Amino acid sequence: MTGLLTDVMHERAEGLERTAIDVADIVREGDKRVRRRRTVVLGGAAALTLTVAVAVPALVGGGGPGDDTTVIDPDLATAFVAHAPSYAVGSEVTVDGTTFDVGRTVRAYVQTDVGVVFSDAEGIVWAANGADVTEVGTVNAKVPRLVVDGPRVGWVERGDPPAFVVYDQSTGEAVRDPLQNTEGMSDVRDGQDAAVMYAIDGDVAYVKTQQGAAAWNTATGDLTFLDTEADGFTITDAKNGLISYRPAGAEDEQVIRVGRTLDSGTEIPLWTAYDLSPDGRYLMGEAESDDVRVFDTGTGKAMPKDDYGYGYFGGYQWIDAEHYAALGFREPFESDLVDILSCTVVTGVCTPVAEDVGSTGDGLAIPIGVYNS
Amino acid sequence: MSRRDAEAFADFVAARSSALHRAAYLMVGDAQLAQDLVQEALTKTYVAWPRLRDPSRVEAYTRKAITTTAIGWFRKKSWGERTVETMPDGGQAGHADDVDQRAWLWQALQELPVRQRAAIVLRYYEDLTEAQTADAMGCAVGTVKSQVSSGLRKLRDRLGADVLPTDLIEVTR
Repeated sequence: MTGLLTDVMHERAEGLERTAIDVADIVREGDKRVRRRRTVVLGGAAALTLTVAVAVPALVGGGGPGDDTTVIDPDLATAFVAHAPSYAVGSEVTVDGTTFDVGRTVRAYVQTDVGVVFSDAEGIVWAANGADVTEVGTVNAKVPRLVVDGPRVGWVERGDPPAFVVYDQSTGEAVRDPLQNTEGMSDVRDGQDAAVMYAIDGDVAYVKTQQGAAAWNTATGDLTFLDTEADGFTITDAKNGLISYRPAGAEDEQVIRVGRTLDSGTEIPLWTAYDLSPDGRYLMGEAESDDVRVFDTGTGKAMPKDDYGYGYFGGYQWIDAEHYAALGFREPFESDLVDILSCTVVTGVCTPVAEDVGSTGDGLAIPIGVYNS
Repeated sequence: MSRRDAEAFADFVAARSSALHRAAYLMVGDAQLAQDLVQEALTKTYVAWPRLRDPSRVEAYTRKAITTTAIGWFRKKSWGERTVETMPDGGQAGHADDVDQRAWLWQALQELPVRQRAAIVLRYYEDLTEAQTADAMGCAVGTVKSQVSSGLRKLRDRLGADVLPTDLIEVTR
């Protein structure tokens, strides 16, 4: 009986079709990375100005407050401005007690100042504000990833080459540019030779292009290379001029650094870093598996946290600089109904916002920009 | 091994890529993602090739790259990893037939947090020692013990002690 686990793994592994590894492609990519290292320029010393990306309207009009055709529930508008905690179950999004239907099952989603932006099962990206649902782009259907700051949402648009998109839900305008991406690059987050949209901080989108990590000013089109050794796992978030990142060469180590450049900052002993607070003073992350806590980015110390008796309890969304939304649920995790709470950083005190909102088995989604399947 | 020898690297890939792909598949549960994972890990291995003076270390390096990359891919999804279908409770699973037991065990394995899954794959599929597993995961031996123990306990809680006896949890090397 003790061999059952091993037997099952061998059975599954041996049933796998033989893989086709492209050695030539690996050698090409490896040689390219070696060349980058030899020519590396750290700290953004080399600023390269490229053609200014032209702002274009969203693919389908509407969806933003500037659109006269929309009539938005004032309670919803207020809730979005306040960044009230939200969640989605199936095609229904709830924020501050108000629920609206977006017409298709929500996979990955983020919450902006004016609504939500989400991807569906086909990888179509939609913007919704409680009045309109607007198609605004495409993303990898299987491994979608959306990043957000204020009214702006960023993602990697499907295509060959893939393009970077920053969509402003308050104006309905989007900036699309492949920058230095080349044909054959992946749009799968962290995949082989992948284009990556790391984070957005105001006008600046942090991206990984074919030439390495760069800060892309979407207002001016300036592209500033930060670290040409970036391998797609480096930058985890950016807010208020601060960047949280895993230092170069520390891919396998329990360390995240928060600083204004990629060679300085406060080190925090995290395996995983999630979102910075709006002012960059705090960072959500995991020092221990499945234990999401808030860390002070000035001292690197963890802030108070109580588990309130939940089997899993952790933050997932910043409400403002001092408060965050958390979710808590108990075993059996797949069927227990999740509670949403609002927590104060300095005290760790949390109060329920919504109880029994749905289970992970029901397809509950939270605004973290990835698909939890 | 002192220079980036493409021919020697190709020989290594030809000899070991299928085995690496199988282990990667057990960690991520998706054949295509496993192939992407192996491709990325082999690229890192190729870049590091001149530093890998001892040829026997090459596979260990690639295995570590697969494991840590897989953990990186799935970290952001940690809370959602406890998902999907309702599992039978232990009593039901204990009476299920062998095929059902194996299917449920595979599903339960895939629903473990990625670090627990990786530790179990390395220990019970790759048959690595705790020290070798710690090296592959880039963590302490104590962490391996706790990850394996937690993972096996969750599997046993879900599937029943008759499917995964408690003595399996005590195995150490």
